[in-house]
Amino acid sequence: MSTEDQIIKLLNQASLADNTGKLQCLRNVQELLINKDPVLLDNMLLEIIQFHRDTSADVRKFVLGFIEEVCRKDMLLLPKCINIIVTLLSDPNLQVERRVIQVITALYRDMLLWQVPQRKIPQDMTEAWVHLSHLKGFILEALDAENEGIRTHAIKFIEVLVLCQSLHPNPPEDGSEVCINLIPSDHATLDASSLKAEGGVAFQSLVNFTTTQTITPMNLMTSIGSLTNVAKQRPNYLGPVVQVFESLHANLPPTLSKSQVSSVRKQLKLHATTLFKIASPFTARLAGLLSDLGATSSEIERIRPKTTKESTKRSS
Amino acid sequence: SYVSNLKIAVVCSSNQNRSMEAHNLLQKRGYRVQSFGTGSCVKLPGVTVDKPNIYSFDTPYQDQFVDLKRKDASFYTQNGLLNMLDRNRRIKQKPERFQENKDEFDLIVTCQERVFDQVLENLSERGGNSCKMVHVINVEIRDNHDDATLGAFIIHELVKEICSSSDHEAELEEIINTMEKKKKQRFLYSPSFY
Repeated sequence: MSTEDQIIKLLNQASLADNTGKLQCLRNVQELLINKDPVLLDNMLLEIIQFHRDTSADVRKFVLGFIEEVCRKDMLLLPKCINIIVTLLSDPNLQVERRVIQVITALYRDMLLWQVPQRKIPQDMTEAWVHLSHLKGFILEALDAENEGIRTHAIKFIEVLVLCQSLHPNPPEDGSEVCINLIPSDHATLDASSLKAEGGVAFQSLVNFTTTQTITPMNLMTSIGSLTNVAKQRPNYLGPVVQVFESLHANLPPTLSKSQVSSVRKQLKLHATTLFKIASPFTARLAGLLSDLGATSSEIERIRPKTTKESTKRSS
Repeated sequence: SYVSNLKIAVVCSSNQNRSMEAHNLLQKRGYRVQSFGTGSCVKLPGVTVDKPNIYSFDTPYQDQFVDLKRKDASFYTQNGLLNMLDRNRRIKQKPERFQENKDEFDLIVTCQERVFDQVLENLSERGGNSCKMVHVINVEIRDNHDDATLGAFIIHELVKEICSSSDHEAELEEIINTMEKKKKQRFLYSPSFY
């Protein structure tokens, strides 16, 4: 039996099976299409993503995972899937909605990565990008969402957006990362200056969100991690992030329980340590913060960045 | 088939006592579970306090069992180590080090604050970009047989609550708060991302 026949048989079985059986059939189809015979993907794609109307949330989540995987392998398939992503963003099931945000986060970065080196962008890809940009607006507003999990995934989206839409200190020449420096001024679809401005606004909204007194511990710890990832890779954001950490240390939300305070302080210490290891003008402030968070002086000296030690010697 | 789709990891220092006790219980109750240690090597008490038995994570439980039996069968039977290794070798071949495993979990339960710190540090160093969320919870358990048994029941109760929640991501903090009150014990918690 050819792979195509196997896939058709499995899809027929899936449409008649119960939820568990359906998921198993679809996973087998995914395996055959992605790892055995990817040339069939283009033809069979619609047959699989039509399951986005299934009554089971797990099946709808599977479809989203499938879309993520195939588009990350071949971005030119995105135009065929984008409408499904748009539809599922309003899914009544919050877990599906959260999965959509995760998928958009991955595809937003990859779509930028795909576009940057292109001199001419096909019409259907331009339209897909317009859709993705529209979805971005929804996610940026999701920091105010009622559901905590939705807010958590919105934070991760903002982290990715800020990283993609800011200046890289040493932009990679192999195009493995997206940053503003790599976008040519005459690019067909991307306007570097407006993307950079949008990145700056998104960063500030994350800072504001992190320092609100009503933030939940899960969102707070996610934000602390995201701000660290941004500051670690984009040193021009290091100063504001150190300031946020200092402010959090002095003024944690009053709603936290004792164990939540311990957990948050642990996160602060872990991430302040990560930032401290980078030689920067903020080393002294981070050393002070680490000490306040319970690090001993020998611990601090052990991880102190080498260049700072040398520069300290030179200046003394 | 499993009682829940969540991929769970239980982590202690040597992947011998606390994590394996919980691994055993969760596996018997039908959960999708793996267990790990975060230490640099596997340490088991020796005949004297200053001479522990030290093995690499690559040493199968079977080999450790044979080694201890050969060294002092009566002593290691009496202190329960042979019994523990016998249980462990029936669950999996050898201990596993968390830092060397690349699987992605939905929930990681640690058995000691230091292990919790090491797990979070390792996850943060991995620097992945899949944005897949993992919840890390510490249930403090002293490293002895009785506490490991009690600890495994607490972990099971916590896991059961999380897995039976219709939206564990949104309800996790509430589940942890409720468990803290019920068990009169504090649980450290942190979200992390792959």
